[in-house]
Amino acid sequence: MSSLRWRLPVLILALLASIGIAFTWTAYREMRHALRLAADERVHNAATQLADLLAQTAAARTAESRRLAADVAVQRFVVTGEGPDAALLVLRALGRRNQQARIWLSARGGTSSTHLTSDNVTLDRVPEPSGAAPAMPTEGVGALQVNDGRVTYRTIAIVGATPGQAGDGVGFLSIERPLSSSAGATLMERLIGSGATFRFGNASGDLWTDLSKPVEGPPGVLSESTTLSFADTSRTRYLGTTAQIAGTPWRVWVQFNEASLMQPAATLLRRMWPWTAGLTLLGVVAVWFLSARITRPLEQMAGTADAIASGDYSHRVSVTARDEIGRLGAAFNMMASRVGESHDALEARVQARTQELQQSAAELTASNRELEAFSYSVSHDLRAPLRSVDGFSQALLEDCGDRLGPDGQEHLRRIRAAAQHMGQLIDDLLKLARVTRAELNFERIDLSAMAQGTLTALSEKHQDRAVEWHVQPGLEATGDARLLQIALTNLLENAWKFTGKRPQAHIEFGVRNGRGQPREYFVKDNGAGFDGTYASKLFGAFQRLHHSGDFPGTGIGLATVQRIVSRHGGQIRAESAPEQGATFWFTLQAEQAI
Amino acid sequence: MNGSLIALIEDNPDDEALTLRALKKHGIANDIVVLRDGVEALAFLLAPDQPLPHLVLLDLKLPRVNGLEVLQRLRAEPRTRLLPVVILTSSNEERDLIEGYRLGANSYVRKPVDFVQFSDAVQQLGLYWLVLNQAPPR
Repeated sequence: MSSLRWRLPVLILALLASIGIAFTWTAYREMRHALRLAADERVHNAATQLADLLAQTAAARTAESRRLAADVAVQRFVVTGEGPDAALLVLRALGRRNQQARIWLSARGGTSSTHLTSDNVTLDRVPEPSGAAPAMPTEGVGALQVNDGRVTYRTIAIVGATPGQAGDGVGFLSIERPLSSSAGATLMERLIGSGATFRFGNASGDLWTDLSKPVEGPPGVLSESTTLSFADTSRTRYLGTTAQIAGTPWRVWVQFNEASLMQPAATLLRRMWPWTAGLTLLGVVAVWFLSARITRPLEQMAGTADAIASGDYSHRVSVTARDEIGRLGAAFNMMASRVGESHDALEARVQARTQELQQSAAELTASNRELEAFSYSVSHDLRAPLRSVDGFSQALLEDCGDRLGPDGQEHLRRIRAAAQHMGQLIDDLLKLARVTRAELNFERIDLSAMAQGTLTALSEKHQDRAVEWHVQPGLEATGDARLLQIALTNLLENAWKFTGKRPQAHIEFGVRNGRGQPREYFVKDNGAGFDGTYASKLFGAFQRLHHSGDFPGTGIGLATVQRIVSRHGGQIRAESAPEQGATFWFTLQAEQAI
Repeated sequence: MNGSLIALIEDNPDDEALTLRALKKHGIANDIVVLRDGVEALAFLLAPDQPLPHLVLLDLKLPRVNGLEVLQRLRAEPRTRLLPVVILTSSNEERDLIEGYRLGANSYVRKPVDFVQFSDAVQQLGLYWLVLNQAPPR
C-alpha cells in the first residue's frame, strides 16, 4: 500500500464514497423533510374534509328533525295535547323509512297524560308540574353513546316554543340513530385515500368509533394545529391529527401510515445507492488507470535510478509526455548523464592519479635504490682515498720525518687530521642517511636504562673526566630502540662534550609532564651553552655554533637527532645562553599525554 | 709466525701497500700472497695443488667477482669450508655485516681511516689468527 499507484485510487475511493454517501443522505433527509410537510398537510386536509362531510350530515339530520318538529300535527299534540294519532302518523312515516331509529316525542303541560307507542315511535305527554317530566335538552345533535352494543347518536328538536302559538304545552322530538346505519365508512375511507384510517368520536374523548363499533382512541393529546407522530404496539409508525366537527360535539381523527407516506424517500434512497456506488467505482477505475499512467514513468525512473546507483550509467528514462512527469524525466536523464560524465571524469582522474602515483612510486623506488647504491659506494670508496692520504702521510712521517723539519711534520699532521675529520664526516652522513631510511619497529623502551647505560659507557671511555649525572628513573616510551639509542647517545655525548671545560660537570635526563600536552623529555647540562638566537640553526646538517678548535664535531649529530624525533612524530627544541648550559627538549608523538 | 701464509685479497694498491706495511712493521707473516680480484682469488684458493693459506684477509668490493661471492664459493668447497676468513673492508653497512657473517666469515674488521689505528688492527689480527687462535685441522 506504500505505492503511489495504490494510494491514489484508494484516496479517490474514499473521497467519492464519502461525497456519494453525504449527497445521498442529504437528499434523503431533505426529501423526508419535504414529504413530512406534505404529509402533515395531507393529514390535515383529510381530517378537515372528513369533519366537513360529517358536519354536513349532522346538519341534514338536524334539519330533518326540525322539519318534523314543525309539522302541524306534532305541534298541535305538543302544545294542546290534542290529536295524538295524527302526530303518531306523521312520525311513523319517518319510523318506517328509518327502521333502526328510535323516535320519541316528549311533551309536558295540561292536566292529562298520554302515552302511545307504535313500532319504534313513542309519544309521551305528562301534566306539569310533574316530577316525571324530563328536562328540556339542547337542540341539535348530541354526543355519541353506546346503546345495546351499538353506537348511536340523537338529534333533538324543540317543539312548541314558537312564539304566537296558543296552548300551554312544550316538548321536544328526539331521534336516536345507530351510526352503522349511516352511509359512509367505505365512502370516507375512499375519500381519505389508501394507507389511512380514521376515528370518529366525542369531543370530550370518552368514546371513539370506526363508525361500526367502539374502538380505542388515538394516543396522546389532541391538537388541531399539529400532527402527532407515534408508534403503535407493533411498532408501526403513524402520523395523525384531529378536527372538530362544526355544529356538533364530535371530533374526527385521521392517521396515516408513516412508512407509506415516506415511501418516496425510501425509494429514492434505494435507487440512489447503486448510482453512488457505480459512480464511485467508475471514478476509482478511472483513477487507477490515471495513476498507472502517472506512476509507470516514476517506476521506470526508480528502476533507472537503482541501475545508476549500482554503477550502470547507460540507463535512461523514456518519457515523452510534456507534463511535469515528462519534465522530471528529462531532468532525470540530464542528471543521469551528468552523473555518468562526472563519474567517467572522476574515474579518468583516479586512473591518471594512480598512474602518476605508480610512476612516482617507481621513481621513488629507483631513487631509493640509487641512494642506497650511492651510500654504499660512499661507504666503500670515499674512505679508501682518505685512508691512503692518512696512511702515506704517516708513512712519510715515519720514514722521512727527520728530513722534513718541524714545519713539514706539522703540515703532515694537519693533512692527517683533515683526512680523519673527513672520514668522521662521511660516517656521520651515512648515519644520518640510515636514520632516514631505516624501518621503524615500535616497542616499549626503558629510556632511563638507555640513558644510564650511555652515560656509564661515556664515563668509562673518558676516565679523565669527572661528570656527575642524574637520570630520572622509570621513564618508558614507545619507539624504535635503535633510533632512540642513536638520538639519546648524540644528545648525551653533546652534553658530555660541551661540559668538557667545567670542573664540576653536571648532566641530567628527565621528563616534564605538560597538562594535556605530550610528555617532554629533556637532556640538560651546565656546559658551554650557546647563543639562543641561533637555536633554530642548531638542527640543520653541518651547522655548528662552536669553533671546531674549542669543541670538535661534524655538525651532523643534532640533525640526526631531529630526524629521529620527527620520525617518531615528535618535536625538538633547545634552550641555552652562552656559558649557562643547554637544555634540549623533545617529545615523542607515539605516546599519549599522561 | 714464520712459515705462515696469509692471502690478502685486495684490489686497491694503496690499501695493499698500507696493509703490507702494517704487517711488516709488526713482523707478521713473511709469506703473503696478494690476490687482486675475486677471480684471481678463487683460482688460487680453489686450486687443489696450491697450499692453503693460514688466514685470508678479504676485501668486499672487488672487480669481476666480489668478496661475498668469493666467501660463498669458499664455504661451498669442502677443502676451504673451514678456512679462517676475515673480512677487512671500508664498509660498515649493516647488510654487508649480516651477509658476511651469514656466509661464514670468521671475523669482520672495518679499516679505520687513521693509519695508526689501522696498523694496530692489522697487528692484532695477525697476532690473534696466526698465534692465539687454534686453526681448524687440515
